[in-house]
Amino acid sequence: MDRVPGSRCRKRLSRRQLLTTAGAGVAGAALSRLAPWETGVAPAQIKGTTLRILTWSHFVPAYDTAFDKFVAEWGQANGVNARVDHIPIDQLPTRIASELSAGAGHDIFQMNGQIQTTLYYKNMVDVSDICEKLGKQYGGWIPMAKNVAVVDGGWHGLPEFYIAQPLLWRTDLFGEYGLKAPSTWEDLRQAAKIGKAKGHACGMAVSHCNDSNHNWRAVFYAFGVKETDPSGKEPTWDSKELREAMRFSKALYEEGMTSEVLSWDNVSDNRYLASGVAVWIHDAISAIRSIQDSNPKLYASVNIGCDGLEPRGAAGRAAVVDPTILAIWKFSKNQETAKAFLEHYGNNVQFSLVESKGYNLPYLKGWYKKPMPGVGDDPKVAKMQDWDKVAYVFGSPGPATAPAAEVLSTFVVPDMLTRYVRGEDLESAIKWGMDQIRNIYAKYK
Amino acid sequence: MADVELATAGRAAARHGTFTRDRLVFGYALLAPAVLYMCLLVGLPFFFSLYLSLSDATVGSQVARFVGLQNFVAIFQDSTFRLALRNTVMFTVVAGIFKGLLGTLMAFLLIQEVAGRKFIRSLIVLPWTLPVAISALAWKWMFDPQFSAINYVGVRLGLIHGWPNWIGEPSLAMAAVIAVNVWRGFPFAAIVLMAGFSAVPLELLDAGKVDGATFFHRYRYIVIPVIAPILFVGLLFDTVFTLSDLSIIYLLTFGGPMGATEILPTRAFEIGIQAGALGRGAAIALVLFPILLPVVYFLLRNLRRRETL
Repeated sequence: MDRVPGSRCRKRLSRRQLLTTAGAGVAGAALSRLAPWETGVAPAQIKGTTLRILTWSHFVPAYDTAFDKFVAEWGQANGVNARVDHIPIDQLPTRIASELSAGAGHDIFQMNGQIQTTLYYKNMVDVSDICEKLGKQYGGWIPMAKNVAVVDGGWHGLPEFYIAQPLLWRTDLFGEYGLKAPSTWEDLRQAAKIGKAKGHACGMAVSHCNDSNHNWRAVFYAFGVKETDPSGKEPTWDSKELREAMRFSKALYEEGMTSEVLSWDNVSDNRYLASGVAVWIHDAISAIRSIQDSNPKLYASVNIGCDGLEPRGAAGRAAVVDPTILAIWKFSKNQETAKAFLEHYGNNVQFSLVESKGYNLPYLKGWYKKPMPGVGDDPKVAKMQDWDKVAYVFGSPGPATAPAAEVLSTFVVPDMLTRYVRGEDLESAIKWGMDQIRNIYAKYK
Repeated sequence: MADVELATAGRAAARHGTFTRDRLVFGYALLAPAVLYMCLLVGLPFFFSLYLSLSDATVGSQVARFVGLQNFVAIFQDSTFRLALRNTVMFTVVAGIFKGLLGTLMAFLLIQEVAGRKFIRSLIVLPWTLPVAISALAWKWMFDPQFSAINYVGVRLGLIHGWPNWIGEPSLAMAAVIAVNVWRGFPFAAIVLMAGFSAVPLELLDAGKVDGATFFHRYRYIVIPVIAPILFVGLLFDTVFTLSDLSIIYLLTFGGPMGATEILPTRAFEIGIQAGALGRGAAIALVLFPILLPVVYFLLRNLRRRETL
């Protein structure tokens, strides 16, 4: 530093010092705009805390291992004692209810399939700051995201991922029967009819299971059935579209399926495909992941989706997906830690896509740029890159409300269809279903 | 002299009274932990359920309003609830009859003097001791619509025609869940009855034989009256266990197909826990109480009468 003659205090900065100081200033300014956990520096308030996360046992087991590692690494980096507990998906609603009743349990919990945000939102921390930030950063949320996480204008959970349940069809059998690649539900009905006669029926559960709820909603939505009005308050199932969808569904069942679908659970269709019998099923891609190594020949012959992604019905194409969200209990003593983790996880969608091998699909639009990580480089699942265009959640076009969730959890739609396919009159079966649905909605008014 | 006798008698009476009072206090003190346990673990949840059933409580709300009998009215208007109530009664009665018959048969076999009796008894008890999840999953495979072991063996032996869908056909599904409940429960009945048969005095049976009573006469007029208290207690336990048996149906059919195997516990679970409507769920669960209470009362009253005879 040069001394300026005549001044005892003023010192002239060298270029090196100027650049160093300026660089430090820019870095400091940038760092100050980031949340502390983004800088990799654990903020004082979360260091030394604990974080317990409740989530499901993923149908791609390797994802659970990867997720546990992801959480542990984040915990280590931030001085947080983080732990993940996995339970079967069917047990999540029970565990959530009991944790709230006890006022104790995990800090972050997952809702999966049966979304009950409207029931629990007053006990869930508002995470609008995180969700709005992620939305701005990654091109916005797909419409379905708000259906599952927003109540009274606030985001009460982080939309984590959704699970697609696409058509899985046997190219070899279609070729053998001289059929072109399916594009409509009618194409699938014809294929099933031919296949059943040759010992290769199709299969979609018509029973008390999650698959049944989602698969038949996909058919119904494709025929133009709407569960509620846009507000989600008034059920609008009862329509000519429903009757048309029911007639088609019964024809599909009678011509293309065997009665065993009446007793299927969530893995029965996986087994049906793996047995080599099914000409097509409609299920999550875990059904083909489970045969990828055990039966490569069968795996190679199964295609996912069709040209328009989902088969077309009278009104269009629709895929009813299983949504998941992560939420923070208000009784949690580690809310800051939980929010820190959610923001970190929300920024790491790539991890979710890659480790789940395309099973987890994102809610953030920015992640649909092709090639999508984990999905775009695998021709088998490449169609999933556009799944946001056809994805709907139960309760559509309204949000996934508590009465819509009760209609789902009490299997009204599968039962209504079961009555009809087992010989009950169409109007009688629909009347039964509508009575059930109206009673459910009436209780929430 | 009379005064001395009176005084002596009075002191003896006082000592006796103190002794009796001390024994009573001691007795109640010994009972107190059990009563406290019952109050905390049975009484409190019961009264809490009663409170929930009379309120509009949901899982998501901290505040519940009193709604009187609204929940009970609502559930009786639900056709699925009425179906569940019918199914519950049918499930309990039919399963109880089969468990009684099979348990009796097994009990008679188990009291015979044969080599390896202890080993056979321990094998018989296995279904009852196995965790219900393991039993249900094993049976689920046996009833599987595609890979059913029962159908495979039955078809090859010519006992079964076609390929029954055990948990897909409504009538077969109810039969299937009853069969699993009976399979799990009849060893308990066998053990209870076996204990009862062992307590019947041989002289009575011998006297019956001498008088020319047949096996069924001896069973009806000697064995049953003697073991009646054990029989009633066993029946009571079995009825309560069966009425509240959620696990088998949850694991096998989840109430399907079309609600054919829906029973009150599964309906209460669906509505109260899965749908979050605690008030209605509690009301469904408590519907069993007025059915059970008179049954228990008459059973215990009958039991007491027999004990005093």
